[in-house]
Amino acid sequence: MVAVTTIGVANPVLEIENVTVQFGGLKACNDVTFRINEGELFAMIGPNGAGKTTVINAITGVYSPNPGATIDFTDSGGNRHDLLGQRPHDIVSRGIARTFQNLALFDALTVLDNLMLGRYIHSDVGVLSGGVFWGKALKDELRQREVVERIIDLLEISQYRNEAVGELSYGVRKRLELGRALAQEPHLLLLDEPMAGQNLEEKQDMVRFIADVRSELGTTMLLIEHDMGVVMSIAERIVVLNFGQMIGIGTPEEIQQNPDVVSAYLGTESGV
Amino acid sequence: MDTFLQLTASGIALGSVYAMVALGFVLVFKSTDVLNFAHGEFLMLGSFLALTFLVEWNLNIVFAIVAIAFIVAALGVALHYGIMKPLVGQPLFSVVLVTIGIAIVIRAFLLMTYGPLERGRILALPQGQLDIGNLVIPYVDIILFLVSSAAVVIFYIFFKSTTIGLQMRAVAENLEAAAAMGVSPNKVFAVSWGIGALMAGVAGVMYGNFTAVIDLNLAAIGLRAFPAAMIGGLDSVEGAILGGLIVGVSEQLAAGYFGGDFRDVVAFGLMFVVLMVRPYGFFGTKDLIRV
Amino acid sequence: MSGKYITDYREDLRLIKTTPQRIVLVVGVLATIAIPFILQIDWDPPFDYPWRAWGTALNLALAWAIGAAAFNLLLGYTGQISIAHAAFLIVGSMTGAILGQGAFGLGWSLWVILPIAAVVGAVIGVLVGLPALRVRGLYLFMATLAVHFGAILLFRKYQLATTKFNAITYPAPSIPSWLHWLPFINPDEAGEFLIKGDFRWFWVIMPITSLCIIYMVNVLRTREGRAFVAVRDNDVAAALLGINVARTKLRAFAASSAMVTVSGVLLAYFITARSDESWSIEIILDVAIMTVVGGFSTIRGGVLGAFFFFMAPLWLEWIRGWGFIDSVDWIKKNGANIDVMIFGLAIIVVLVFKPEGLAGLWADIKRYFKQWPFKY
Repeated sequence: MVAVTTIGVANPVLEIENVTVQFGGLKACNDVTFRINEGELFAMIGPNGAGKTTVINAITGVYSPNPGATIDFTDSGGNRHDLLGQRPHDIVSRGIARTFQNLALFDALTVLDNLMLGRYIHSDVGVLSGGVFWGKALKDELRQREVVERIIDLLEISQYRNEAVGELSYGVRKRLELGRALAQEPHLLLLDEPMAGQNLEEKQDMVRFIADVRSELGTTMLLIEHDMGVVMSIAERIVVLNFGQMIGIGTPEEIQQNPDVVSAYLGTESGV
Repeated sequence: MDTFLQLTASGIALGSVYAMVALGFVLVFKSTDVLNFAHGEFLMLGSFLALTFLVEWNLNIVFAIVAIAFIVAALGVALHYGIMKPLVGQPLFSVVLVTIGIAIVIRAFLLMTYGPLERGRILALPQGQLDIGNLVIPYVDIILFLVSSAAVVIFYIFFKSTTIGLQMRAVAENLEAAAAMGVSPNKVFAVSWGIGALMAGVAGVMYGNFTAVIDLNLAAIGLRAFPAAMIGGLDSVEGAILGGLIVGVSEQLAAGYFGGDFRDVVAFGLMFVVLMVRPYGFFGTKDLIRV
Repeated sequence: MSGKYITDYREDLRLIKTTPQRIVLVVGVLATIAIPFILQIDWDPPFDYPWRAWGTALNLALAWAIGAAAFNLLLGYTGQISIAHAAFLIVGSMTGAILGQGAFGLGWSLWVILPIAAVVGAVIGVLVGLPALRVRGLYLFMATLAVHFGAILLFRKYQLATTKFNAITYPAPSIPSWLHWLPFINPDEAGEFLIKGDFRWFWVIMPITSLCIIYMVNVLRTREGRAFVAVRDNDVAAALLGINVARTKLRAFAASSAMVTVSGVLLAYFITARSDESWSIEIILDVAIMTVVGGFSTIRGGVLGAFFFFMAPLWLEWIRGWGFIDSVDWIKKNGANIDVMIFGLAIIVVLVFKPEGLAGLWADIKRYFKQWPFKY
């Protein structure tokens, strides 16, 4: 945790080196190395099973990578943290938020409560002050509620505010999950296929939301997405994984011209 | 040393009853995933029915055991079709709570039928004792051990080498696959409940000949199936037998050396330690719980 | 449809938002104040029912309501199946005995003991919660069963060391003399105002129960409460929101155990005597009846369940008094046993047909009236 002052535009937010995650004999991802700079929208693409989610899980401490890996995160205050070996809840409270490929919302709770859970790390109301409620907890609830309401407005989900999440459509839930991650006010946002399973209109909405977030909050993002059109149009840099191996990294133009990528991935996909 | 051997001997007799109880408990859990809190009440029902059959009506003990086994098994099957079957898909704790409801109903039934007064030990078995050096082993203990062993062996043969036993193992292993192969899970569940209750009922008859008094506290003996089953591994038939013996012996030793108050605590304390150190027991499947 | 618009967040956070709710609250408070007075009256026939029995049942129900609701806080909201809960009633009665003004106590007043008991309960609750970090579900249930037997042994040993084979007794607490200027406080000849009898106890238990219930409701509607549910539903996702899952579980254990311990102290002092027999394993069956029939996933369910458990026998007894039923010999002989059987059957029926219990029924009725005359 050494405070560093880097001059120039390319302040790194996340630097990962030689990240290998192994399940038995299978390497889900092998020697993945990249760096995401502040304010950047960095995309990770690759066919199913390429190890994209594994990388996110390694960053958030759900899986631990093999020895020799480096995962360094620089928070909004410029402090550098080594994330290796830290537990997920510690990593998250440093300023990293994520969404899940297969939704991990709390279905029994309302939209509002799910979003308020996103505010968990920004509050210190415990079982004592919460139980007393009037005073500290009420003040805190009101403060958090304001942040949450801004997100509700931004994502246009106000009509669902008090509904239980279990009863909402898939598209709304995907949006809500983005909202919950935003409520954490992360310095780095990891989006795991935010557009999967949605129709064209919902996808367009989601792209718009992501663009809004970037322009309004300037959040650094790592995006996993299958839709090549989307990725090529909004990502600044892209890393391509195939069977756990990195086969290319660069700007969208570079990726489109990378022969390995074209043969391994783009060659089998249409609609670039 | 003599005390130790003496306590161990009676512990083995007691443990063999526990093993039988735990076996029935594990069987129900293994095939239906239900943790049966009413298992102790099944045992108690067996003991009280034995009072009626053996003390009041003075019937032959073999006939009584068979008759009680049949009654309790029928109750088990009825419980499956009447109560447990409609509950499929309910959360785990609901199902446990239902068995608590069943336990309360059986208790109330026994209170109505037999009244609140405690009864003395049943004296249907030969009352002499065997002297080996300084060691005194009552015949009751020996018969207890033999009957329990016989029950366990019969069950084991049934479980490992009959078609329905095979189906039970198949359902326990993988319900969907077994159902796809034409095994009727409902039939298997019903048989499991039947045999599980039967084991407890027979154990109840035997225990009624062993214990000092018969009253509603006997259910606590049925609860010993919990530590016995946990120590062995909740889904292991062999584990239940070993666990029963361990609980029986350690309980008698603790009662002998520290006093009767420690009976419950030793059995459940032992279980607690095993749970913390080796949550899947000695024979259980390791991935049964993920933490 | 209730046509009420909420215009600011503070208003939205209120527990009482609509006019009907306000009416229910006022009526409820008035009724609560009136009930003990009504129960005091010696009614003439045909209302000459022994109402005083209701006073005891009411106090027991109120004191138990804390425990039952706290059980639901742990089971319903946090998803931790802990039977050790009954053990905290024992912890409560032991704390009350060790610190209290009984023959072997330190001589402290009940009003001091109650908050201390809450702290003691919370601390032991954290210890008992530790296994929850290692095992879960049924395995936790089993592990906590061991705690229950340990607590019974401890109580038995304490009882043996102090009162031998007699039950431990709890003297009636008194209102401190500097509060004697309060209205309705009329000291006796000895210059003391003892809390004795159902009427006086009601004014002690009812406010404490209300405070405890409000405390739990508040915990559940703020940050930690949401974290409890998050841990229950998906602990990995919870951790990835920055929730320390282990610590959150322990907090739930602490909060819930503190409440049950308070309930245990109140019960001990209200009943005035406790022995190892009072806290047998059957206490678990009682808790099961309350929480299942009430509904085991809400605070309201715990409270309703406690009332059901203590009030239903009175209604059943009343029904048994009807002429034609009273004439059946068997029913007369087995009165209390029939109650127990009805309780057991109630558990089964509720879980098979209405798993949400009385609290669910309440919600259904509310929905029906809210949407009337529309069916859906």
